[in-house]
Amino acid sequence: MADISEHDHELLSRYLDGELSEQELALLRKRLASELSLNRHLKEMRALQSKIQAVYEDMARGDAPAPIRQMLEHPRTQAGALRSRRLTHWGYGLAASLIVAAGAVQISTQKHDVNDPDQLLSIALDDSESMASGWEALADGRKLRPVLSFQSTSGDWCREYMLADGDLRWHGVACRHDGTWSTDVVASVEPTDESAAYRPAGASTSEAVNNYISASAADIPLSLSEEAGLIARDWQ
Amino acid sequence: MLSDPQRDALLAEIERLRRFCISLTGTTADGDDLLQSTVERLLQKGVPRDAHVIKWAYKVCKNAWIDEIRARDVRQRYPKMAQDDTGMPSAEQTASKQRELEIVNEALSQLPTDQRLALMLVAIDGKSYAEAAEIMDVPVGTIMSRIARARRSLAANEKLIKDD
Repeated sequence: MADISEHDHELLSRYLDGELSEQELALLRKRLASELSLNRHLKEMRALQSKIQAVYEDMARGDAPAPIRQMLEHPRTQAGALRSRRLTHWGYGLAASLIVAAGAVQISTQKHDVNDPDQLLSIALDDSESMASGWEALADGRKLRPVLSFQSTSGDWCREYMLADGDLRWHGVACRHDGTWSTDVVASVEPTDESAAYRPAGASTSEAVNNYISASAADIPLSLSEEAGLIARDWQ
Repeated sequence: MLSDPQRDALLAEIERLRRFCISLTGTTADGDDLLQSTVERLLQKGVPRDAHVIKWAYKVCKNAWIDEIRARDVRQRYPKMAQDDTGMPSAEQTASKQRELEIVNEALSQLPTDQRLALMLVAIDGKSYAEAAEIMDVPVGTIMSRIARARRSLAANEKLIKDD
């Protein structure tokens, strides 16, 4: 590369980045017309920049992975994930011990807006008992499996759940605020088979769910009878 | 949690943010991981009410990447490179692109983190010095000198220059 002063190198660098004032630009253009080494240095810097840009533009060709877009497009999948890591939270162990009848139950949508998917989830979490297996069908085609319920340290009722939408699966926790269940954390998981547990699809995300439960649960999960009593009393 | 307008704004910027992630990590797969990590952090922690969501997203991305390189020596991973091109170039084209990618990544990996971040924000992502300064929490003059030093170092990289 042409040998020029640090000052001129910095000047050319700012020129490449469009950061020169009009006055500086005019002066530089004059110099570029007459100073060969300055001109050569600029060409070399441009070539270098083009090479780096071309490499990364090529690598970034194609769209962002669908699961990442989905996390932003659908808040219910907010901590969705791409890859797998471990899941060692107590929630799964306890979930397996829950004995609840499986089977699909169509959720009534008569008094709710069926176009609001979170609303559907909220309604289902309000009314459905936890189950160790099986699914409850939501009106929009998704399937829900409430896994367990617990009280948070702030006194809210929270529910760990699995949610399926076609081939997509999520593991999340929703808590009840002002009569509505809102998902506080959710992780994408990879389905193994219908009878088994799920493999987490993303380490950081699964850990986010686990950490959330660990941090927010005030006590051990509710027993089935305690949960049934709360459902009957509309979680009061 | 993000508001709907914030999520929309992020979605509109997601491809540029992805390219920035890829330029930092050096591979498409790692870039997508970094993007995911960035989006997760944004969704989990939200954006301060008075912050610009896109600038905040780049800031979060920068911090996530710094966390990543602190956690492990990323530089050692560059020679492996991603094998995730979806196109079907010839073997010769693939080898040539792969080689170029390795050379560029190796050269960039030798830059100090701050210089690389500044260069990627401005030269690859097209941010202004002022925007980059805001994202990196440094004065504009610092961005300017970091980029100039980064370019000087890259220009001294024989492999990178020889490959032209």
